[in-house]
Amino acid sequence: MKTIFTEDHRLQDGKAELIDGKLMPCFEMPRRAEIVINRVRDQKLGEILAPERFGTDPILRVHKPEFVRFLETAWGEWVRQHGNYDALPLNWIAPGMRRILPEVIDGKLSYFSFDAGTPITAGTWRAAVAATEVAMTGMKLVKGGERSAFALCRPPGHHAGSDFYGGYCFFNNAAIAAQGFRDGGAARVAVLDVDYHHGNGTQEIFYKRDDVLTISIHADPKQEFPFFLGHADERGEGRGEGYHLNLPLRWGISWAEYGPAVDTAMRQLIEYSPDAIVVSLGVDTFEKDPISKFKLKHEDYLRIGEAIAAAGKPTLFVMEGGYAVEELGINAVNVLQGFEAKA
Amino acid sequence: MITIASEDHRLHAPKGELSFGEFVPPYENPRRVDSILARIAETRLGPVLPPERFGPELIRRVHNAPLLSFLETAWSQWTARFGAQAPEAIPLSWPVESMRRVEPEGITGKFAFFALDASTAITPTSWAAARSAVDVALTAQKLVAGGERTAFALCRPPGHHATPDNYGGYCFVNNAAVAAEAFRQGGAARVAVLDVDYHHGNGTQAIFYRRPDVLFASLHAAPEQDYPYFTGYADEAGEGPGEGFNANYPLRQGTKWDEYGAALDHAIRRIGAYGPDALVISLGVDTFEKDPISKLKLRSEDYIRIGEAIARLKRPTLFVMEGGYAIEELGLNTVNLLQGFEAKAG
Repeated sequence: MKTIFTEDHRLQDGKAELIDGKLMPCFEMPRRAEIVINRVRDQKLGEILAPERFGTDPILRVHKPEFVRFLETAWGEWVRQHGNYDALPLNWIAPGMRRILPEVIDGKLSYFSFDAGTPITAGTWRAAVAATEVAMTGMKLVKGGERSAFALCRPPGHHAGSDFYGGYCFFNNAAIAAQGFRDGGAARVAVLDVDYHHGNGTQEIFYKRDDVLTISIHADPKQEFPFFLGHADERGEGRGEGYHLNLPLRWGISWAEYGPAVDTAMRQLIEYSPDAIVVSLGVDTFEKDPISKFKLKHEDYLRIGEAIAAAGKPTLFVMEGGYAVEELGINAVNVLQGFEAKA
Repeated sequence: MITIASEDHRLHAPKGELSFGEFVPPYENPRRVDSILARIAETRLGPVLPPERFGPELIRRVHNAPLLSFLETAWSQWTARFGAQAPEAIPLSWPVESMRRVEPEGITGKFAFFALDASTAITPTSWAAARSAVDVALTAQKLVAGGERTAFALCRPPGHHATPDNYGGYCFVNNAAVAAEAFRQGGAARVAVLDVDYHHGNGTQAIFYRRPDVLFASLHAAPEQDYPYFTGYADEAGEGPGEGFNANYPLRQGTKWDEYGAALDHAIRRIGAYGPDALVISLGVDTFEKDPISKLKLRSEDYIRIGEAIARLKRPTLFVMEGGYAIEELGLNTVNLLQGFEAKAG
């Protein structure tokens, strides 16, 4: 399997995120991508390619222009107002308030964000655009006939919606790639999100569409971030009704509960008969992940890869979460190797 | 003028305030009350009395039960999750438009559900301080309802950002709204709340937005330019039976007394036409030119003018302390306003 990777991910290197009442060094750090790419090399998974340039056109297919413009200009506006340190929002649009775009950068951060854990830095824009190009390059390989490809995206993307960022995500790499498949001629695309956290951005982007099936297996939002989306009764809306599936699982579960959820997801996915599959590949379901509470083990990731391969469809893996423990590379590459063994 | 104050405000003294990506010493801190009490003593404004205790009934009339039960138990839930040495509690994330307002089970999610910003830390004793601030407001309200021309409720923590369902902006319980409700329950047919804090009184607006029996008027920084950003526009006039009973006067950054005074006159005339039986003033002096977090340009003598303008309404008037963060001049500006009022109140 070919991997798409660029060192530009290092341009997103926040100093601190707000978590559990403290400012902590960012869990979403450049080291994550290093660990994964090192494992890809060690395991001789396949060729490692640099991304092509795509610019912002594919981004604008799923994100609103005012949001894209905001991310492009946010750092400059922030530095003029506050100085040269990471930008985090302070408040947000609470119930009863109105969604009117403020003039000042502090208000714009509040308008477009949904958490205080996702710093905008000097290099955020370039890193975020590069991650979308990694995903699009992977998409192009798969569209061109590769059985699969691995887009080693960083920063991740699945929490970013059509006009909001948060959860370490700025642009929704997986959604951009899924739209890329559609624009390239695929009639139906399925996105399977196995990250520990609900893929709220992906759900929002495709919620009213029947041409992209979205499925997410994740920690129950009653217990876990992002808290306010990802319940089992969210099944899509309008034309999209029936084309979204959430499989929330409780804290503490292991493969005994996770495996059946993967089976359920894959049954619905295969029934949809997509022309291509995009996998939002998070491995923060791992038992030793520092911010998560599932109990998957190394070998379980092989099983996930095998189950996805059983669909027999062109498949793009897009890196999402999984935090910088040394086993991150093992788990991510286990999914890919499990896939290849059965593909 | 009698002042009601409680030492219990000191129970809310967070060590840090999250301010745009870093923790800073809180702007909203106990020294604010010290500054005001010192000036009250210096100017011999009048006696300073402790509050009586009040039950939760009136609080329950302006805030919904889930918020109150959260505030009461937030610290114990937070330490149950993160241990006795847990840091002060602040939220991490929040629901955007495409998400659902379903109360989560876990405490981190509850913070995201009930907070409206990440700058308002909860400490082990924040709730006790918030309750004492309500006692201060209600004790002063009782004096005015009982015939005093006026009284000053030196509340801390402040209250005007607290909505029926959310806390934030340094506020937990909306002291001014609870006092306004107390006037209503005590027989006042109409009550007006005038909010002169620099920031929009979004909580008070939300609480009374659909009611004609409490007129809310607020002078504040334009929401396009300052916190809380998403509320306080001039076209927010009330809703349903409350339509026509909400008046916002957003002011651009850099506004000085000439424009401020004109907006105040308009608000005063509007309140005069309403003919309230009692008046509650949400008294913030963060409109001051040297306030560290604000961008209006009022001078110390302008606060005397504000007090005089309020006195012209000739209504029983309760002053409830809200914001103001220029500690050195906080006492001077606050008491200037009260003295301006007294000079014209007769």
